[in-house]
Amino acid sequence: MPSNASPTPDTAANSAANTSAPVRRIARRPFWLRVLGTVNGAIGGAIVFVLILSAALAGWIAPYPPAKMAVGGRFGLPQAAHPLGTDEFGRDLFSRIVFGSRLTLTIGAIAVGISLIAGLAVGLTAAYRRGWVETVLMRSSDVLFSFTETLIALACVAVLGPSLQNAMIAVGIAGIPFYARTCHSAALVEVSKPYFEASVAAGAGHARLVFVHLLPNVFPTMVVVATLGVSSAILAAAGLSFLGLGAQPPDPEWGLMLSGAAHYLNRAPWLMVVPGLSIAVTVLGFNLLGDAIRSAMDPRRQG
Amino acid sequence: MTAKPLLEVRDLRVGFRTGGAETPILHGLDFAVNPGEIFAIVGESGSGKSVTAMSLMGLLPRASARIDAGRALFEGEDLLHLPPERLRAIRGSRIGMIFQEPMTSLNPVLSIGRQMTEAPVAHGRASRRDAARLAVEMLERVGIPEPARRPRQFPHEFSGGMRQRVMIAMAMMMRPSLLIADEPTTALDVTVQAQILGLMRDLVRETGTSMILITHDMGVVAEMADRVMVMRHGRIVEAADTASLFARPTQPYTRDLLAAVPRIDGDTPAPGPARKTAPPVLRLDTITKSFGGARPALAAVSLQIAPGEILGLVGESGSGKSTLGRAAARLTEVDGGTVTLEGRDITRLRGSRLREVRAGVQMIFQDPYSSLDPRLRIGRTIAEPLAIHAGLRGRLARARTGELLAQVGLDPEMADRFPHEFSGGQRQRIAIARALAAKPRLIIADEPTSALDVSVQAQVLDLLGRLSVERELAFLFISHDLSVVRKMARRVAVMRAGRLLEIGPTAEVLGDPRHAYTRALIAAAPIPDPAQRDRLTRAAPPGEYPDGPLRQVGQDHWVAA
Repeated sequence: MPSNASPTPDTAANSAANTSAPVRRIARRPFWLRVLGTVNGAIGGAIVFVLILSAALAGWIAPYPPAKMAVGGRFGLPQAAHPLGTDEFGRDLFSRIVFGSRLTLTIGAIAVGISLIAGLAVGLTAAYRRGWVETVLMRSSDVLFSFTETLIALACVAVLGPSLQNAMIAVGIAGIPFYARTCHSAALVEVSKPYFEASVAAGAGHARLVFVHLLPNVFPTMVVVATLGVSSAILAAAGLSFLGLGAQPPDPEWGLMLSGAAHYLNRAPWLMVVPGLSIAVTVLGFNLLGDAIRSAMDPRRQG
Repeated sequence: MTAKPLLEVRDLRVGFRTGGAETPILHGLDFAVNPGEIFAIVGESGSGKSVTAMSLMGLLPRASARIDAGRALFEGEDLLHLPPERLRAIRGSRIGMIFQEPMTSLNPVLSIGRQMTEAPVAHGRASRRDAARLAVEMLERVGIPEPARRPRQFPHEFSGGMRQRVMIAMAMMMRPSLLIADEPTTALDVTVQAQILGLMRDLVRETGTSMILITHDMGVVAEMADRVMVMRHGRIVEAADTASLFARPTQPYTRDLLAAVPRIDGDTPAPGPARKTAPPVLRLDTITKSFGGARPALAAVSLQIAPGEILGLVGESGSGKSTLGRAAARLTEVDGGTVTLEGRDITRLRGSRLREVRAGVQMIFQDPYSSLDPRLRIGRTIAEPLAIHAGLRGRLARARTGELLAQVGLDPEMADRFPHEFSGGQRQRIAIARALAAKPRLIIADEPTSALDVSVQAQVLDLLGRLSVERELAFLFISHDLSVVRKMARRVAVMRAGRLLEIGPTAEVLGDPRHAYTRALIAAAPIPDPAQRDRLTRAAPPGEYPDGPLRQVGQDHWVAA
């Protein structure tokens, strides 16, 4: 597209007339408004907001402690005292879901945090150092990439032993190759740009080049990847818990709740439907939000 | 021209929506294109010349653009108000189009023949077999060797110039009565441009097709057009036949535009006082570099630059001129030879010792949009060399940054802004300020004005020239444009295929070129003067030039034998 089609044709022309005149500042809506102003962003943001609220205020929202059993009230149908019914130990399902959101968010944050930090380190190092360092780092991440994430996570748990904490670590490690690869390709683009070379030519040291120029320019891409990655991390961890390799009873972890409820599918289907839906809605929320962030960051779609 | 015009545009008004508001882009254009004429629309970026063409072709982005008023009568039909399917029938059959980018305007996965025959077959003009025969004919007509086997080939097997020939052949397949060419030669090397321009002119003459030629280049206008329309800010500044527009421009803007165009037959800086005694600021000795291809990117290139001297380095794409510049700045490692900066061999320096000497050579790049870190305020970008080399921070750095901004003609108050708030010319000034901050003795300027409008280019060139004099700052001025080099440099070096072919004082090299390739380059450069038309050499230059060792032919004037 020729530059004339740009929505602000007067900017270039101004400069032709008088280069010292400032170009008109283009008023842009703030970033978060552009994210939440879209349908996807609004829905995703609302879901994530409710989730965070429920995790933060679980003690106030939930009517019962998550592990409180009641012998008389097993498999209770949804009713006034138990809005989502009770499970096989008479525990209040609503309270367990609310407390479970805490675990879900923690899992998402920690697993993605591990992937993100390690991925950034690997990707940036490879793109910055080039040469054999790049070859070794990126080829080994390719090798890991060729296994499915779940398989790597399973292997990690097998080594570390089953626990919620180890599941988070395992999911985080399994995600590293993807984050490293994305970061590597984003960083390669920046490294070849003139501003980076100008900084090299000015004599900038490693730390300045990486932390002042490279990292801030790669970070937006990685934020999008991470937001979208939260949902797959939650799914993967729920999967591990479902298989008994993640959270252990009586943790109110949604994947674990699914697994426990599977035995009573005929008798109390809501025990499976509710945590399943919770996972699905959470995943949907993070995906929508990540999508909206990506759109808002795309310079071609500013408005 | 008493005949009825082929295309008559009346009161064309187009607006673009941004956010909620609509910005008018074209403010009522009136013009007409006569049968068989070349009508040039010329203007700088933002003038609306391409929007004009896109509205005629119905290619405006539907989501954001709106035609507010106007008519465009083409062979009795109003192009602006035709139903899309009717417009599609006209497009590609009676109106042909040629775009700027020969690399992306052909579909890479379809054979040339398939793409060329698509339109005639789709429009029901010819059977597949007739179309195929016509395609071979057209390929031959546009000067493609061995046309018979070309239809089976794919776009990647053609060079940029060849692809543009294919595009022209494809547009001519339908014998359109109007061709719209949007910057058809801007992406091509100057020798290729000369051939393509000549070809287009001959085709138009022979077939009686009319052409709308959209360009920013006054030289191309002078070579090609029968009539010119100068546009600015979406309005017509003036329209006239080419000879009288160049001879007697009536509007001040047209005069300024013409005056800003550097000319290959223009003035060159007079050779300054001889500074033979001063040791060169940069000496390159038999630099070789290979990127692993069949031929090296640089083959034993040697040159030197005196303090305060501007050495022009000219060559077409792939000549190795940028690689040489990067090698001089130690941004590219060389395979052999030495880089000597102010008497010190820096070829093998590494680590912190390399970083120390780096301040002595700075770079200015071509693309003003990617040469500034988009996430840093420009004050920080400019202050970076200060922080690195002088340890200057805080108020001191701020004061120095302000001085530098003032020196490149910008307001010191702008230091807190981000790059996206500046125009291309302003960004290039900021890049210059950053280069100056390191207090270098030499600046490698790699096509520093190629992305700028001609009036902005003139200002930036003046700035560079002034800085060179005031600070005794040497420049390696890399450019594909001989006219720009003529204006800037006292000495010029010509490169091709990784070798230095001619080097000497600018006036001598351009006035009395001793190498066949230099002569070809000069002959191919369009001159913004219609009186000198038909001077362009159409013939494809020979593929081989003498590229042996340099031989002295005059004082300071060396030519490859």
